[in-house]
Amino acid sequence: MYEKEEQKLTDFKDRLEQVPLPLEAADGAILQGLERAKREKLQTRAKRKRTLWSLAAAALLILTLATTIRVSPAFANAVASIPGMEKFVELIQNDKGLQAVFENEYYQPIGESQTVGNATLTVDGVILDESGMNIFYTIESAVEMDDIVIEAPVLENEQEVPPASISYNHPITQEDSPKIYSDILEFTFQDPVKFKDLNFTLGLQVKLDGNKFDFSVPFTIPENVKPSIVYEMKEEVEVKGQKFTVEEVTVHPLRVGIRLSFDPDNTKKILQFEDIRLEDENGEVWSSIANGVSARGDIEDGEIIYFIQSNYFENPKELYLRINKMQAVDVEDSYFLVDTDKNVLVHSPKDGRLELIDSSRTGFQMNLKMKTDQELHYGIDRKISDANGEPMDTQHTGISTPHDGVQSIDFGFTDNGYTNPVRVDLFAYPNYINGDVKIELKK
Amino acid sequence: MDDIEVARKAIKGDEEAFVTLMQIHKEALLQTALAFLKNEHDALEALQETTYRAFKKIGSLKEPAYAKTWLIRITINYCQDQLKKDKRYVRDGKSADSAVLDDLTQLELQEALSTLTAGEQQLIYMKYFQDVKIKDIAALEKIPEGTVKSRLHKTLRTLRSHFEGKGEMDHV
Repeated sequence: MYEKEEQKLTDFKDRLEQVPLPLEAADGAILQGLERAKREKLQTRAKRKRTLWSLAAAALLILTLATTIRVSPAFANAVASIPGMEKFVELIQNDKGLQAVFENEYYQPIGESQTVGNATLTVDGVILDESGMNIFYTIESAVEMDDIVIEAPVLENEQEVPPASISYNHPITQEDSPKIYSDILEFTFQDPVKFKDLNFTLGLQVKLDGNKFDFSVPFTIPENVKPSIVYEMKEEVEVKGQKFTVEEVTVHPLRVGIRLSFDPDNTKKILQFEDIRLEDENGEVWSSIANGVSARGDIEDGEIIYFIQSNYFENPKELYLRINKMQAVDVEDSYFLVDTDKNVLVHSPKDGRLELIDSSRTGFQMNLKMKTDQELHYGIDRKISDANGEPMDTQHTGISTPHDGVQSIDFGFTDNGYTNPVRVDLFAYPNYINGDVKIELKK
Repeated sequence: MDDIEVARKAIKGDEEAFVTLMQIHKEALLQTALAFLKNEHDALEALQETTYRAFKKIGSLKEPAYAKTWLIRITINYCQDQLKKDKRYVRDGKSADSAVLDDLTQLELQEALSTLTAGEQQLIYMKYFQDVKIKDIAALEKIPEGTVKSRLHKTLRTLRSHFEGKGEMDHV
């Protein structure tokens, strides 16, 4: 019927088959593609948690999941008494503060849902305090979901909901195609807030197998928040000649916020606090948030709030704030410069551990030499800008887990005509100073 | 070890088998990329990209027997995206340099093909360039064979009307 057309196609095919193929170069292309994929697999392992930031100057730490799992009998009982709670246990068991929330019945079951097409979104329950709201939700589908993408969670109230950092898991469903998916949306409010009216609406855009679902679930929280406890501190401390002030400590049920400010005359820039914790008289410790938003603010602005797991429901006789290890570099080492036209590393920390592998107008790759058994669990970049101070149009940045003594770092941006060299201000760097700060929190 | 065995091992995450799999099919993949992108350099890029995407997604390939078709589909998808993105390629299939397929007899057909939708192009390519059986296309796309056949007919009809339209124009 379509012989003429088929003949033309066959002719074209024959013509194609006469074209010599670059078979030798092909093996190189295959290996390059494989290397790229392997490198990226390493990176995604290091960055499982995806966090959306609505705050421009927000800082995020990515910490690996705690490997030990301790579940107290009280927590196990509390969870067993709430129907449908089993599926969330894995998500809360590495946060002592969240466990205590359940033991003290501060979690509020909701059970409101909405069905769109063949999918249903249920708000199972929430934990609300002045610092944020954790929403436990479930998506159920009549058919297996091969691909789940959570987009743009929005929380609405009669009152304005303050800008929030939102943290949630990126579903990993390549291996299995579930019909039920449960996770927690963690809203961390920019400023503490108390809502008068407890009617909320959760808007959630979800892509299931490429189809868009627009959910909007109204729900009412039965009880208002327990008040947060504020410790005014204003205590200046010094570590290796670097001064900073513990301004205040606020204990919320969901988290403890520690507000720090820094002396502008410091010769070193403190990049990260690796060990900041609360400790009671028996040596029991509440440490950093293991999975979620662990800090807010920008050390550059002179002030930052660190979040640690909450001891709100405990009643210790004595409570101390303790700070030991931190990442710090000399001020002049707190950034590096890459000229992507000349393919050179123009400036970098003097320890020489950063090495430029390759660069082009659309990105560069670097190696960071690591000492044995060391690993940097953070992205390295805080800000990327061009020679005129204009922010780069960044497409992606990533850091791999260590291999052969290095961690690979990858930056990608669009070539919008920026001016070289590109400047990257460090967010983290494996150079440490140790102190022993111990301050009592007095009521 | 036959091709299917290689594919099965690759799906299970055997890296060496994966490289072998890519090497077995590299000719078909390069040919595919050349048919769309028309030059060697871009075809090699496409092969690299296909390797990259395939390695990341190999777990989603359910049936080892369809490995080749699956890979070709990845290549075509990449090429079609590139063509959409990259203004260097004009519709008659000539690229800025080192074109390997720009002889005039093929231009008319290539132009006709470029008017098809991405899905139709894939179908034509699978059927006439890689000789994939309708049964296999149906299995891979998870649609009935009848649907594949009717799509094929519709596509050939589109091609014909394109040629005939051309013909008439020539007479005017």
